[in-house]
Amino acid sequence: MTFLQGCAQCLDSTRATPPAVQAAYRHAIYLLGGAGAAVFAAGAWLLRRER
Amino acid sequence: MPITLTPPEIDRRHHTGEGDGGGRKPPTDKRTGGNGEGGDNWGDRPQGRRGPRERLSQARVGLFFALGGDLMFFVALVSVFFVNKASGHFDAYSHWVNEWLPTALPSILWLNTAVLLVSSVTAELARRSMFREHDAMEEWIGFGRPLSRRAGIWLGLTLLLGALFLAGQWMAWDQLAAQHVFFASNPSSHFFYLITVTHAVHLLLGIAGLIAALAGLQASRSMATRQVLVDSTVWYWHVMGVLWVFLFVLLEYGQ
Amino acid sequence: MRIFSTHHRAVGFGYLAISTVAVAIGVLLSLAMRTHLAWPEWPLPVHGPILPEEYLTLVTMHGTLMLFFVMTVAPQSGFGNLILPAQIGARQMAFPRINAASMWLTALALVVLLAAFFVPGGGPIGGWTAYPPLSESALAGPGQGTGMDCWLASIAIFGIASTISAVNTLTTIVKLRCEGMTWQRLPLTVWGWFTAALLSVIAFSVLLAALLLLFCDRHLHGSFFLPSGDVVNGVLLQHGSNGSPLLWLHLFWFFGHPEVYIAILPGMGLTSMVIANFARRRVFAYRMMIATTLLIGLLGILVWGHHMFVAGLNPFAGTVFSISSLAIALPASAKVLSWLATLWRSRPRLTAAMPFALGFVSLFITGGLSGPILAQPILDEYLHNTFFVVAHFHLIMAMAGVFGLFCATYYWFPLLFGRMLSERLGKVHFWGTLLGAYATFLPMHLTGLAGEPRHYAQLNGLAGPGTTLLESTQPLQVHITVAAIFLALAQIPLLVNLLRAWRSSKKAEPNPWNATTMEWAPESEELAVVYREPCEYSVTDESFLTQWSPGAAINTEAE
Repeated sequence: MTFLQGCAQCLDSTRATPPAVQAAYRHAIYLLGGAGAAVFAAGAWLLRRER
Repeated sequence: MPITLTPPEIDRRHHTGEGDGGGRKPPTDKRTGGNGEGGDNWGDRPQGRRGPRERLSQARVGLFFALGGDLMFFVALVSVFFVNKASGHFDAYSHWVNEWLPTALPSILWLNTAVLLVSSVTAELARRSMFREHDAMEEWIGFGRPLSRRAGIWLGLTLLLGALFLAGQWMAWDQLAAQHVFFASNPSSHFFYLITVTHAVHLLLGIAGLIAALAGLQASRSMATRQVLVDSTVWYWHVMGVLWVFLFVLLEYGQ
Repeated sequence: MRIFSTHHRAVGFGYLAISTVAVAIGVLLSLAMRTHLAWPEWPLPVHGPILPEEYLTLVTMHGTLMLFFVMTVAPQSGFGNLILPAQIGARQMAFPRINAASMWLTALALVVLLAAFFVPGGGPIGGWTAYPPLSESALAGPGQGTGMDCWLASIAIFGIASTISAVNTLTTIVKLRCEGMTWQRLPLTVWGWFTAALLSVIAFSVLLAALLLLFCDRHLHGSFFLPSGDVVNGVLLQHGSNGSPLLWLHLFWFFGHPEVYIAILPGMGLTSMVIANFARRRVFAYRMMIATTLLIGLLGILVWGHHMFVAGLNPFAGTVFSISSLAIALPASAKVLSWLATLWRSRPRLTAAMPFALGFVSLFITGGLSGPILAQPILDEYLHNTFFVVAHFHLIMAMAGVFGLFCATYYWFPLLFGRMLSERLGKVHFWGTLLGAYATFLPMHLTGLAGEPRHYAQLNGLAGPGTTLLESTQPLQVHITVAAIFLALAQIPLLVNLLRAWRSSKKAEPNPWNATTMEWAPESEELAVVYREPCEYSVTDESFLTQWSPGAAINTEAE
């Protein structure tokens, strides 16, 4: 199992992208996913709290 | 008096009535209340009977979910901000070119931020005044309208400050336009205008809410409705204020 | 009913009316597409032969109508508004006027979308996914001007309406439950609606942001999604240079994946309850079913990258998204096992709703099995944008979802209209639809493996090495089209059934299915109280305990 799963062309594109941009995408993915999961968890917790 | 450590819902063993015992003394009730006993918990009552805070609580829950969604909207914009800021392209000479040139924020934005923070303070004063027990009872009974008057004054002040904020934002846009910095000028200016305009639209909705709350204070005959209107509007206002602080910090230091 | 009534039943029926219009048009569009693929020279009546760009309009509008206006509206807002308040013992939704407003906004969104057919240039051709840069400019093709703007406006309005409706649903479930209705006693349908509403609130806002950015790119010279040096139809678009289409994909699929879970979660909840009710068994592992519903919702937020494996996504990110996508197989399989375990060694009563619930399980399994295949980037490399993907989502989302809707119709018809639907016609409808669904969509796995691309209007007479394989699928294309026509015709028994029941005078009993959930409780002026969890049936099904009766078990009448 490799840590790289995806098309070879995508890998080439990624390698050609400056690290700053790769980091920006990574941070954006964390931000969107994290915020979404947090709102979901907050909503579920609110239901649990109300009996 | 026994010290009760068992909550009354569980400790029901002493409730059973014996029916007609014939000749015995009536049972003495050794429970004298306290510890949540005596039907204190309004939340245990059926829906619709949970007391004067029930509709308020519903409105707050609804607002929470709506603002959660709104948060995702701004999270999406901020995500795109970071990616666009770092992105670029290879020009004809295979040089990496990033066209992002930070937009200098007009300094009036600092003043606008201060105005918005003060408006949050006045808004909170309005909100708290809606729940002052003495005034609420007086008004509910019908001895004048001390609650609505006080809350109305603070709400009006908030409205004024909010309008000032929007006017200040408009001036900031004018100032940038005078320097020929428009939406399309630069990727960073895309975001400046996008972020400030969408926030201003949200604040405009808040202003509409404030006007509705003021109208409700005058026209609505239900105390609970007035409390709900003011409370929801003010919570929305606070969230928009905090959001603005984040967005402002992003624009000022994040470009 | 008054036309602008705020009663939740009126709003629910309004949503179902919107969905009915949308599904009818969507089916016609799909039949036109299929007929064109099977017999390319076939002229559309009144219109003439379908040109390739018109085919793309059919594809775009079919996807948009079906996914948004049918699969998001009918299970969640339609049946939710009709049944949710009763199932939690409330008399109304939390914010009735806002509820009605969101229904009318959705209707407006439908009108705006359908207007795209009639504006100059015709309907949009970018697919329901509207990828830039082809959605960035009116130069990209016919319909990408005003038609695309109609699409943007319609979906933006729809997103706002859906968010409002979801906030309403969430507040109702959190705050308006009756006495005794703890979260452990909530029927699984309500858990499905809750999770779907929570996903709606999170996902639609991000879509709105994406639509706003696309609008700026199109009309305000923004460059959020536009790469530099992009030439569209011979014209260099010079808006700016820091943009990337990959950004749109991230935002769109962050919405798009939860969207498909919004479409299926209510159906999953209903399937659990209907299977339990007609098998007269407790739901197997009820708390686990609640947990899996929430888990599917939560994981659904974290898997969006699996739509982007071949889009230029960083392969490391691809691995992460692949793992999270495979992880969804766990709660989904747990649900399937629970449905099967609930049924195991029971003697289910096969009235019309039950076969549809069983059909849901069948389609969910079949469609779901191709999910872990597509979740692996190495396999998705070949299968992306082929009909394999089309088969996958049509089976697991469209057909399973539609079976959920049919199940709901047969199950709740007596409650809503006081009449019974004919069982015989229901069985005919079921078998026709099940056979038609499998006959239509199973072969698409094969054509997809043979390399048939999505969105292609022309499969014959192309140049290139892959075309022989593609042309060899032509007999299958004809088969699929015939099966699709059969599937569409198989819905006629349902229409006949509905009409007959509507006009019949024979009243239904109050609780014909001997159900235990609150919506079947007799109408009463008193406040509702709940005494136990749903699905309490005695071992030999002599009696059952409803949620609303304090102690006495009701004897199941002999059928």
